[in-house]
Amino acid sequence: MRVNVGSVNTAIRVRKLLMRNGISSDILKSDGGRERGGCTYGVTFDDVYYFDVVGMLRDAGIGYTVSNE
Amino acid sequence: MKHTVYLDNAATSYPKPREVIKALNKCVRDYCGNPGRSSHYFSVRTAEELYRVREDVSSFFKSGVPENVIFTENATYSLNTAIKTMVPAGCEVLISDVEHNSVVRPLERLRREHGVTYKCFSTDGDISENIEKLIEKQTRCIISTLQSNVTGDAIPLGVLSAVKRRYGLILIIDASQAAGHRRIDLSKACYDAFCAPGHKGLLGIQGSGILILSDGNICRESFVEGGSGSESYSKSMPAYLPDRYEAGTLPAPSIVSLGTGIRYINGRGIAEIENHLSALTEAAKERLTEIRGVTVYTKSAGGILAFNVRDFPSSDVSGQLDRKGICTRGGLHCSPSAHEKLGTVERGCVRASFSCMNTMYDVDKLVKEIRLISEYSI
Repeated sequence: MRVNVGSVNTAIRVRKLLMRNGISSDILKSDGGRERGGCTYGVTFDDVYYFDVVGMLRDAGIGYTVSNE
Repeated sequence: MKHTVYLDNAATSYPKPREVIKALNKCVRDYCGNPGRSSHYFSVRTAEELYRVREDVSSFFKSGVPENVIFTENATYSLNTAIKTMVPAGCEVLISDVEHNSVVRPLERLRREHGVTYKCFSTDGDISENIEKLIEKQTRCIISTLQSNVTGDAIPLGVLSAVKRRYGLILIIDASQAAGHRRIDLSKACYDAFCAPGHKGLLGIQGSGILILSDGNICRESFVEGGSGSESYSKSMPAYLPDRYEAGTLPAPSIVSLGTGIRYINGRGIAEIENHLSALTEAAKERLTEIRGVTVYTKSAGGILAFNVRDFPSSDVSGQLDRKGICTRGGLHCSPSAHEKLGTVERGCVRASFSCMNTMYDVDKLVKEIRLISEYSI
């Protein structure tokens, strides 16, 4: 599962947030497509943590889109 | 002759701590990719190291979220970014009477091209009163150094903050000499932009600077446009920090060195460094003042000492010190305003500037050589 968050700095912030909560993750870059503005950084993690992660992002006020991987 | 006494830290600090050199070597040797451009190990590792430095900077200055820390190539670039994106056209700006050309020159350009005017407030006596009596309807901004790069005399951040708060003005701070040499707590200050170089008191190498924007200063115009590593289809710089003001490849090794410099300062303690600089400056000031023919201009003891010897041109004195292995700077120090205030425009003055790496040995050497110079019969 991947959440796309935009800049690398936001991706790093998200990764640190997940790490603090015991969720291991990686940072990846993907092509977001013209309609989404272009390249975007995302954070990948195990599907089982989806709801936890989305909750954390919402609480932290971090915008995201979700990709299944 | 091999130089043994380095007293030009106001220009750039030397030597750097061993840890800074080690971190720099490790970066260039082991992982230095282009941060924020790819997702391979080199790029992501470098981006993470730079984010760590943002955290170090924001924690050191207590400036809030790391994203408010923008990396530039030096304080001049930081000041240009702040001044050219924040000062409204046609307004009046108040600056101190000891500002560096990195403030005066961009303002002069705004004056020529955008009708901005500026006036100088005196840094003698009651600075708050000196600023307030110059404020008029069209005054919108204060730009001030926290410490003169010529005399080392300080302008308290608290005073500037209080005036900004009282009158709702934009405040741009130049911390080029103060950063890393005195305690600065931005959580207690009211400001818009805080600018500092990485290569002076913060003990990084040349090629890094910081611009810290207070919360809410996000939607200003960008200053330089170029690649930002994401949202490539957009024709504008991103609307969020720090990306909005970081176009192009960041100088990662320089920034890594800046972070390590800050960690070194934290290890020693900023209070200890402040006291150390004060002791060195006070000792040098006291002993130089005792030498007949030496005029000392510095009033405080903040790490910088400005002086002249008899009627010798300052560059001659600096040159002679250089021949004896002592590095200082003569001339106008890119701050003619400060020299107009001191009355030293014609010959400048000699500036000896300390860092936390100097010791009393350096003071002894300086005093000994100045004593000899003062006794020259010409």
